[in-house]
This record gives sequence, structure tokens and C-alpha cells, in this order.
Amino acid sequence: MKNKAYIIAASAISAQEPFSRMEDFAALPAEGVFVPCKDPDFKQYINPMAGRRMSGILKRSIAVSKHALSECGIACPDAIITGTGNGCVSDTEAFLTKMVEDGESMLNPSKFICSTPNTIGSQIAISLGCKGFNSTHVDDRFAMEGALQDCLFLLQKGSVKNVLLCTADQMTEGLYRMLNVEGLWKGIPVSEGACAFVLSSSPEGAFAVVEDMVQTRSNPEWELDRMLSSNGLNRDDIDLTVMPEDYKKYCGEFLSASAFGLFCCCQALKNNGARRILLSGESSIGHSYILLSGICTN
Amino acid sequence: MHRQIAITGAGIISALGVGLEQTYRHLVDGICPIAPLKHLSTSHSDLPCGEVDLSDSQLYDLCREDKGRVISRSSLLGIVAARQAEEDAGLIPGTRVALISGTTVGGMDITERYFKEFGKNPDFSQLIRLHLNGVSTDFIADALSCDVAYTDVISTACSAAANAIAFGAELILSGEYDIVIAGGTECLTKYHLNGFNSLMILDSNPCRPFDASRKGLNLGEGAAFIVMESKKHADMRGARVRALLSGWGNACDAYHQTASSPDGRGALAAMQAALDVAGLSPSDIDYVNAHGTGTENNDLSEGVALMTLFGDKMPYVGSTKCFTGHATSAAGALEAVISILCIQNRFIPANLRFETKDPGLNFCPVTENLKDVQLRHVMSNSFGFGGNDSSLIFSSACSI
Repeated sequence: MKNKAYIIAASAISAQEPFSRMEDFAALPAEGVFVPCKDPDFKQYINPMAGRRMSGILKRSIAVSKHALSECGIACPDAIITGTGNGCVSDTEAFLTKMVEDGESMLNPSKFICSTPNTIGSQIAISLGCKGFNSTHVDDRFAMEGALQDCLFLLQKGSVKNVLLCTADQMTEGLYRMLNVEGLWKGIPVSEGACAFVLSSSPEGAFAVVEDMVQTRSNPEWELDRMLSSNGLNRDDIDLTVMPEDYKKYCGEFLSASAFGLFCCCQALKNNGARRILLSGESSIGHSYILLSGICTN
Repeated sequence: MHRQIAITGAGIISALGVGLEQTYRHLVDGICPIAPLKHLSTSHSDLPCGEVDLSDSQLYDLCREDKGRVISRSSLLGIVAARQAEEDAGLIPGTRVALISGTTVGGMDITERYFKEFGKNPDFSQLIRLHLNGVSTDFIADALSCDVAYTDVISTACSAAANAIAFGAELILSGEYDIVIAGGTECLTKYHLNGFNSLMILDSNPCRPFDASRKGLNLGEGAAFIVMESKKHADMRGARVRALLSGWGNACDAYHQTASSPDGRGALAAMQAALDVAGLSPSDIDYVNAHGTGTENNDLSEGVALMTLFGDKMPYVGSTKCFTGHATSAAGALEAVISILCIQNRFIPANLRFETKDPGLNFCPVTENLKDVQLRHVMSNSFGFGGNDSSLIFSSACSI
């Protein structure tokens, strides 16, 4: 049970209506198009003065984090851990385009400052005044999974009581054009999104439990069985296995889309009471499995 | 002390050279390799940097990689250092390990080279994939003789490698992995050279950390990795223990995206957290390998935090960025390996070019090489943009 944590809040900004629930989701168009995020009214979450200097990914990350925190009534978490596959793409693209097209002089630092992936976590920290542990995981295939593992370690150590996990990735028209030259996403809508979860070491207010997780580049079957058996389980104990295609029809393709999968699992566990779900992730280099269960309320 | 992690292997490539021996010799000789750029193609080549004095082509040769395959310089540097580390630790090929790397620029050198071709020329467009941090780390994982069953990449700007080492330590304590190879890699790119230049924090002369007249930092590049395992596991396989990782701490300054708070509260909290994990008190620290970039803001903020933590019992303090330049996301790994070399050789390198004490600080850094000095515990600081502050504590293998 070393990898256990309670989920007390989950929010998502995606191509679906802002902060909507699973029962209201509509499948995105199946052809390979870019479907942008549907953003909430950021004024509720971000001071408009500060928001003017922020790219979409930063605004989404702060808004979704504050939405999740308000759901569980926490003003400031003990720690913030971010997962992002490609970081602050629009600011990176803007600085790079200027440098490549206009040469290496008279460059404005503001885009550069906001272009590092950890800008997301640090801007959330600044907006919440959170001085605790703060880290950012950027393995593009498993950014959410790396960040979630970090959350579990932190809670397990007992140095914090709760952690905000925020994931975010964005797509720009320019990047879409650059990437799509090879028809990279045949039949899959390309999108973007930000998700936030509040994890706690205590079951109070929880609607789901992360029982354990494993991520591996080799021997996925062996690693899955090892994880299950270390929790006294076998594959028959899994009620539902959620695969990437199960949720990507609602959120589209983006690097940290598995966080949206985790959001869907949270919704399913909240609605149906105690069940055991395996969130399965797959990439060109490996597999991840997150074992989740519901909370028995009676 | 039950949380101690044994460090059984190390590898490094930086402006100081290739490998532990060369790095140590150049530190002892006090040779400063900071110089105008030779290999990075930029209109700012007059800016002094801590560049690895090998062309991409020479790095391919060093890595025995096929030049027909496009590989980021970050990956090439990482391959050199990570291979040294696994060899140094005497790991048997096929050993199941996790690889944790800290990087921010990743494959940006390839991205900026082919940026105009992306979306137009299909031959080059696929290279945009190399920009991704996971992909650039795969090249390192695939080049190792160990079975890399797990990879993760951490990007907290200039503290990335320190956080990668801390995350690696947690992986070992969790029992998930017996052996973790952790560190970081970062090559110089036009992108971040211009970024730092636009912020006007680059010194046009070799940097002078902690000096009252300091004018900024010099960028650097390199990679370093360490092999970590539990003390028990290291003893069981009879591995030589170079040093121990006994503490790691992380806190956020939450003050400003690029500036450190005047009281260095994030730095102080990170150092205190590392001491808490190690079960040590400030008086146990014999040397602080400071973040010490040479910018006015960092050195004052870090210095104030050091004064708050250590009071009038300041240990030896110095920055080795006067040798390596600031290798951004790899800095924490380079300085981890340098700290280990210091502990093993009972040596502290001089903080070069320091002349005048900062009026805001009550201490001077080490101005001359110190030899035969007892180093039980060394603290290594890494602070990043966005206030991502981390501190690691390395201890002598004889300290327990």
C-alpha cells in the first residue's frame, strides 16, 4: 500500500464544455483536425492584469487548479506537482520564430521567461502563494504518470497532507501545421487541455483512491502482475480497464491526455461507488498502469 | 540516517573536460575554461561560456554513434556521462535500472537548426520529435548497457538535475528500483543564450560569483549522472561507495518568475528541508557548493539565506560555476559530481576571481584551493527560474 493516495478533487478544461461532467460529453469529430480547448471565463480565476501577460496554457493551468481546489475547499495546497509533455509551446514558438526570422538581436525576454515548462507550476505557486514542494515532470509520453508518482512519494513520506497535481499541454495553429505535414494524426482529432487533481493522505472527502501505479519501458505484463500481486490482487479483480481510445474520443490527442483519462475514471468512481478501475496507458516506448478504486460510502 | 543512498558510480562531461579524472585535475590546477564560443553557431560568439570543447562530430565519435542519425547535442553529452556512470559503478549489462534526467532545452539545438523546414520539408519535419524531452532522453536510455525499465524527465529550469537526483532517491526508497541512474544534461543553444542575453544577466567577462562587482553569469553546458542504490544493496553486491546522498529538499520561492526573493526564503526552506531529511544540523555541513551564478540577484539572495541558516558559523562556501559556467538544467548534476569528488579527495576548489566582499553579506567564498580538509557533509544548491529551489546533501562514505 506504499503507493496509495486519496483523490479529493478532479477538474478538467478540454475540448468539452468547461468543467463539464462525463454525462454531458460529446464525441469530437473523428477526422484529423485541430479542435481547440473550450476555455472558461478566466476573469473568475485570474486577475485580468496578470492574465494579459499569460499564454493560454498558463491561464488554463491556474483556472483548472483553482477550480479543483475550490471543489475540496483548500485555499493553498502543501505542494504543487506539474506534468506537461511539451510545456509552454506558444511562448517557445513566439521567441523562436522571432529569433529565427529577425536574427539574434533586439529580442524581448518576456516570451523566453514564460517558455520553460516549469513556468506552469511556478505561476500556479505564485498565484496561490504556495511555498511548498514544487516540481515538473516532462517525459512527453508519461508526463502525468511521472507527476502522479511524485505526488504518491510525497504523500507517502508524510511531509505533506495534500498535493495539487496539474497537467497541461497546448497546441497552436503554427505547431499543428509543422507537425501535420506527415499526416501524423490520421483520424484522430488533435486538441489540448489542462487537468487538476487534489490528492490527500487522508480519506476525508475522497471519492477515489489511487491504489498503486507502475510505469515501464520493458516487461509490461510482468510489471502489471507484480503490482497487482503486491496489492493482493489479480487481473480478475479489475472491474473495468480504461484504454486511451476510451477517453480520447472526448478529449482528442494531446501529450498529457491520460490525465483526462484519469479525470474520467474519477467521474466513473464518483458515480458508481466502489469499483476497481485500471487506467492503462501505452506509448511507443512503454506502458503505464494506474490502479484506482472507489470509496465505499455506506 | 536510515534514508541514506549510496552513490556507487559517477560520470561527467563539462567545460572542465571528459570524465572524473580530467574534471578533478582541472579543478585542482585552477584552470578556467570559460572562453568565447567555438562550437555553437551564434552571432554572440564573443560571449564567454563554459562550452564543452568538442564539436558535435567529435561527440558522435566519442559516443560511437552513427553520424547519419540526427541526435541532439544534449543527448550526446548525456550518453557520454551516463555510460561513464554505469561503467564506474561496475553494473552488469542487463541490470534493471531507472534513468531520471533533468533537462529543459532537450533537443532545442535540432529544433532551432531546422525550424524553418518544419511543416515544409517532410525529410526534416520528423526531427521536430527530437524536441521532446522524453525522446531526447530515450537516446541516452538506448545507449546504456543496463536494461532501462523506467525513464522520467524533470524540468524545473536550473534545478532540474537536482530534482532528478531527489526523485531517483525516492524511487530507491520506495523499493521499486534497486538501482537508479540520475542526473541531467543540457547543451548550449542559441535559444537560451539569446533568452538569457535578452534578460541582460550575462557577464561579458568570466563570471565572479559572490564578488561585490559581479556582473552576471556565463552559460555553460554538460551532463553528469550518478548511480544510486540503497547502502544495503551496494554492500550486498560489493560495490565501492564513492559517497552518500543523505539529504534532499525542495521548496518554492513563489516570489517572481525570474527573480529570487530578497530574503532567499525559498532557498532557505529547501536547505532546511534537505537537512531535515538527512537528520543533520547546519553545523554538520563543512562546505556549501553554492548555486552562485554570479548574478547580482541570485548571489545576494542565496547569501542572505546562507547567513540565516548558518549564522556566524558559516561553513566554506564556493561556486564552481566560475569553472563550468551555468549549465542550467545540468548544473545540479555537474555540481553533485564535483561535490562527490571534493568529499573523496578532501578538497575544495577556489571560487575564482573573487576580490571584494559584498556589503550585503557577512562572508567571503573560498578564494584558494583547500587541500586535506575534512568534508563530512557537503551541501549543493540549485535554484531555478520560477523559484524552483532545491538542495542536496552529500556525505562522506566514512561518515556513518
